Amino acid sequence: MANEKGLTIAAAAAEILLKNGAETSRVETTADMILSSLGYISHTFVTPTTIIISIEDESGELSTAIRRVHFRLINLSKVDMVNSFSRDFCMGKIDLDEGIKYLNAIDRKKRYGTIYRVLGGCLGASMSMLIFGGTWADFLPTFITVFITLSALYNIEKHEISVFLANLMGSIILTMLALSFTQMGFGDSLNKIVIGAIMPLVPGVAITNGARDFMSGDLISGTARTAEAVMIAIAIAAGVGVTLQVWLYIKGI
Amino acid sequence: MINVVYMFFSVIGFGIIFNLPLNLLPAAAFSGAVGQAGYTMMMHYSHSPIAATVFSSIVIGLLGEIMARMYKKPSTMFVIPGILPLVPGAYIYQTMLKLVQDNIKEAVHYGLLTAFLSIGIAAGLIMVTTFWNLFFDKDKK
Repeated sequence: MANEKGLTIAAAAAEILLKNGAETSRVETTADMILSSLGYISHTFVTPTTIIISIEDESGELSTAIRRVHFRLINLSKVDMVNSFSRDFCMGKIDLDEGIKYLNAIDRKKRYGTIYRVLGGCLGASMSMLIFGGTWADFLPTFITVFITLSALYNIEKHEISVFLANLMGSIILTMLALSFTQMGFGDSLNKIVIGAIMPLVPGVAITNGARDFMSGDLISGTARTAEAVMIAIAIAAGVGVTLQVWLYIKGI
Repeated sequence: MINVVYMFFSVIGFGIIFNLPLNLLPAAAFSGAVGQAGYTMMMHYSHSPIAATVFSSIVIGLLGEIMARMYKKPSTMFVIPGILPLVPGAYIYQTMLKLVQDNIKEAVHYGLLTAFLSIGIAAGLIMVTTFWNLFFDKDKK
């Protein structure tokens, strides 16, 4: 019974970490540290979609926990909270029963409200647009484009549709908006607006986490995450490309 | 150099998307801004976006590790928002644009550049993490 409690805590901590965008080695290390502080020999295997933890107690009895993760997003606060939880837990500040409650509380924490995240995306995108050599004339069009795109995306996201489809739709919406703005003479350069606007969509984290996983020897996770990143990049490129192509075609007639 | 200011706000924006705690936003934005300064400097001397990207991701990774120590937080918290504006979104777009315009040669050029830049970002970060762990991580449990 005691075995199961420790295992539940380690699995819950690992699941929260994985769901919120931590790299694979961090997930494995955290689970291992929690379990070894309880005196178990543990073996963990983590990929972006699965967590398998197997422990062995003094009497040689084996227990296993498997967690399946379907949707991943990036929430650095939760990564940080689980990180400090595991540090406290290993130092014995939190006992087993409190630990489960504590982790459940972390799991239920809300993110920043949608409107703040949308505005954050707008700020990030418009500023990146300026870094890429855009002018202040493009600032407002980029801001509005991203605002509409992200509002739509974050509302769709609640229904947990596939990342691929969400990014495809997002990039189609943003290209259409950018095209109509520049056609109306609102904003200078179509290129700069689109480049800025796709910044919140590009899979920067997936690319870097993928490469980090490779370097730490987690080959399966590395491959999976890199494949995900490439898929998202293709989705964005396809959305932008198709919309531009259709536009050129219509204009050609 | 005005880019440095833009970068600061850009990182704050992306930090909010990734739900970075409010009290860490300025630190992450600072490391992003210094990274951008490094990018501009390297771009001035080498005229190579790849060299500049690798250099600035090394700078951001290094600052991330230092801040991780200062704030006792995982370094990811500072690195992820910081490197986002370096991600070659512009080249992804250029690749697609050239493909649409039937300019395969240019498309391949930009496509390869995109791939190399992504590898460059990751390589920079990994170099920092690896060497940091080699030199300073002995007291960690």
